[in-house]
Amino acid sequence: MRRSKGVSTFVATLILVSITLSLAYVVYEGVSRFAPPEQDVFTNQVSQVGGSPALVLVVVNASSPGTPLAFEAGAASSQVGVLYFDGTRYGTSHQLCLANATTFFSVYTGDGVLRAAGNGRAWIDGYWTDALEVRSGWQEVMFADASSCTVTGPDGTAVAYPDADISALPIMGALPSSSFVLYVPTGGLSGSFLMVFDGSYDRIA
Amino acid sequence: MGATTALHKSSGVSEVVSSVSMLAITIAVLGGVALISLGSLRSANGVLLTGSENAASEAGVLLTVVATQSNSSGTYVWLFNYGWNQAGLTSVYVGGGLAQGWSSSCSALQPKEMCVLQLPPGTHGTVAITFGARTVSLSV
Repeated sequence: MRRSKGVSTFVATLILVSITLSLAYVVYEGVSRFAPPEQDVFTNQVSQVGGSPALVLVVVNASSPGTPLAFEAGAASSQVGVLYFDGTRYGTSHQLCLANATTFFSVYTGDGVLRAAGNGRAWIDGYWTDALEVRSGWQEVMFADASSCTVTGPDGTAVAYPDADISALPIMGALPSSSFVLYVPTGGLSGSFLMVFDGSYDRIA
Repeated sequence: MGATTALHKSSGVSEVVSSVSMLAITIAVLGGVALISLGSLRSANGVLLTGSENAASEAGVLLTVVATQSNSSGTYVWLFNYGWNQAGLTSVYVGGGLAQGWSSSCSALQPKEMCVLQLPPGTHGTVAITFGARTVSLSV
């Protein structure tokens, strides 16, 4: 009899706890709609690596994994088009290369040789080269002073902008990630760079 | 008499088990909530801590180019670490692109020591030598 009473007390308490947790969840769901999105913390590292135009290496570490929505250089945003630097300012274009400017963007590839050929200089993942053995993921590509160009993936398919395998966001590696590496042409000038995430942004320089 | 004692004993055990179970459930629930709510704080703290440690370490890496020489066997750059922390060469850029075919004794450059970087013959242009976030730039 007593044992039965103890069990029923235990069950009753469990039910009460379940009801309390359910109510707490309902209240949390309601309140969280009005709460601001979680804010990430970022640390940045910017290194001048020289060249013409002068390039900077940008390394961003975030407190939680994510995928950047856009990269903004000066008044130009990768959400509008392919970013370029013409020696004095940043802009956007709907072409992968431009005469008298350096365009920079990224290409998604599998393992193999990525080719970036044009009538100017080509840069792939840190190297001034028109062909590079790459690993699967996003590869950053630049064209300097090229009025015509082609980008060919390891499978032999030429990619153009806009395309699912082309991103105006210049980035290297796998996404989502909590560490982002990219190179930006600056011409030695101090630029204003911003990486935009869902609900937060990182002012790099 | 014996049956009543056994019943009391059984009831006591049941009460104890029920209390311990409730305690365990409460600890599990509160622990879960704490883990979830403190997770972002911990990761943010980790990023800031790593960043601060790197910045403090890099502050103690002070490098200068002592000499350069170019000849038929290659281009040589001598670097001196006059800081108080060890420096490790991470990459070499020539003209803004990663260089290939270089060798160095700078993988662990101790304070108050010198190392040499050898680049392939015919290298010319701007050279950027990175030691973590520290960059030494020169023209050859």
